[in-house]
Amino acid sequence: MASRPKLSGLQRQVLGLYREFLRAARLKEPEERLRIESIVSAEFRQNAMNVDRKNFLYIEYLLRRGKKQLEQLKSPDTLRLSTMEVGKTPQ
Amino acid sequence: MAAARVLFRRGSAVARGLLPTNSPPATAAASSAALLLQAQPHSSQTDSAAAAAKPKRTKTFSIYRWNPDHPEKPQLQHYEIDLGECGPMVLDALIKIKNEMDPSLTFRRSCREGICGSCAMNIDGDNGLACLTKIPSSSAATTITPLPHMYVIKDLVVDMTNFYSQYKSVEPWLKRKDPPPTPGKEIPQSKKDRAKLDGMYECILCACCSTSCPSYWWNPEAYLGPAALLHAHRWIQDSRDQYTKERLDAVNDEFKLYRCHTIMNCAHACPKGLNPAKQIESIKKLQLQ
Amino acid sequence: MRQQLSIRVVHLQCMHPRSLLHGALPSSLRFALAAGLSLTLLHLPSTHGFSRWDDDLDLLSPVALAAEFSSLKSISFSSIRKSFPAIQLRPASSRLRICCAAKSETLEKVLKIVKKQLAVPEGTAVTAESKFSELGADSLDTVEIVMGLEEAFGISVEEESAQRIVTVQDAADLIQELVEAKSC
Repeated sequence: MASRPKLSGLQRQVLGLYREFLRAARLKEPEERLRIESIVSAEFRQNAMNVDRKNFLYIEYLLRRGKKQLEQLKSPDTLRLSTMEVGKTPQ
Repeated sequence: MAAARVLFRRGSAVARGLLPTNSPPATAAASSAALLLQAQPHSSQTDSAAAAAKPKRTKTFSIYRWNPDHPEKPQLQHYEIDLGECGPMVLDALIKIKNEMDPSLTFRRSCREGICGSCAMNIDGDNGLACLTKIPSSSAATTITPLPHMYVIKDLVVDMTNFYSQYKSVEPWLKRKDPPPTPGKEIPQSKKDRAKLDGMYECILCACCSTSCPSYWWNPEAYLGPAALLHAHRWIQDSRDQYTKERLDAVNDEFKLYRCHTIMNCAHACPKGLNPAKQIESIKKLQLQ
Repeated sequence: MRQQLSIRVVHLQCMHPRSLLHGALPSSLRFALAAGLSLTLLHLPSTHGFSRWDDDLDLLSPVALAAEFSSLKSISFSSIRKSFPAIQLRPASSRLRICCAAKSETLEKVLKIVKKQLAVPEGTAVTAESKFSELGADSLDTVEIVMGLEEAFGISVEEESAQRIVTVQDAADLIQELVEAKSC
């Protein structure tokens, strides 16, 4: 048990948010649930890789944004979650 | 001369009399264009004459920048504006910067006349509406930062959710126990009762007052802040509302109301000239009854 | 927090006939795990015998235990759980039997879910003592696994407890506790 490093408060918040997202995903339709889980998982993992652990300002900003998105997702009127890439179209 | 030129452009009959015209009077449709053409000789005269006398008035704006997509530390970026080419208000300068110099500058704005409350920001240390704050005439740089002690979403845009949820918690709508005295008609209110609401109904929820209150800085979730308390008082004072006692009890909390220590920054900051501190004092007095 | 084990070992009279070996764990760790796990079952009166034990108990015969003792430099183990259940020495064997039996099923289910979630390649040994990090799971994966387990067992895991899970065994124990708490 001592082999695992202690999680900082910020890390715990991030993990807590992730759990909340997964719990919210449970409330939706099964196929939508899988999609939500994959989107959320991909986003969290991407941020975990790219964002510097010391960049508290940005992590807190992402946490706040995530909480707002979670509030919207939890609402029973929300049916699904989807993402789109906005980038340069290949010439 | 400049004033006459302005009148001339607006097609004022007085101006037409003031300045000599060379061409015959034109039709109404072309009159404004003709008047503008007439103005040409005058404007060039003024410029050549005054060019040497009037130097270009440049003003530096130091604006808080932070982009969540490229999250480094927040910076103050400096922009130089020719005040001769810009409107008198800070919002005009911001729009000019966004149009001509840096399109990535992000700020909220809407009515440009001080009624929507979107462009609230901190200008040279004081909270205010950018559309109502004149650009200071001093040559020193003007610092523009977002509302203090609020989470920044981008550049000058802050997260107002906590502020709005506190306003919502005050239940700012009419609540009655009985139906209206004349069914289907409005609830009558005397002029004197309506006058009680003056000084409170004008609040545009710009958040200048709440974000200038140090007590609100230190307890943003618990203390309601001057704006929400002002609105609470507005509904307490409304003669048509029948839940006065319940409203007073809801606010009568050590944190919600009594974090106010009469610092009075709110009255200084309000761009509409309201006095939230007075309303809070009135609530406190009502609690004693 | 390290404690002396000797007294507790003496009380442990009924032994599992098979000695259990799980993977190539350091003996001290296995012993420690055994001791930690066996504490819930220490309320065994000496006269009762148990014919069925589940695999994860890792209870060793007294002889084996003594051997463990001699091989270790210090007789101590680290407390795995934050709070120990009180040691009761009254006959509650039937209830215990059910709970013990459930534990092996629990662990089996847990192992299956973990294997599926982490897409562990065939051939990798996933045992009760495997840490999630060893199996290639980061903290996000651990959260996912805990959620999957929550659903499978119909329980609700507290955030606090979930963050303490390091090995598969921890997860199984936690689930066991929660299932018991729910049924009892």
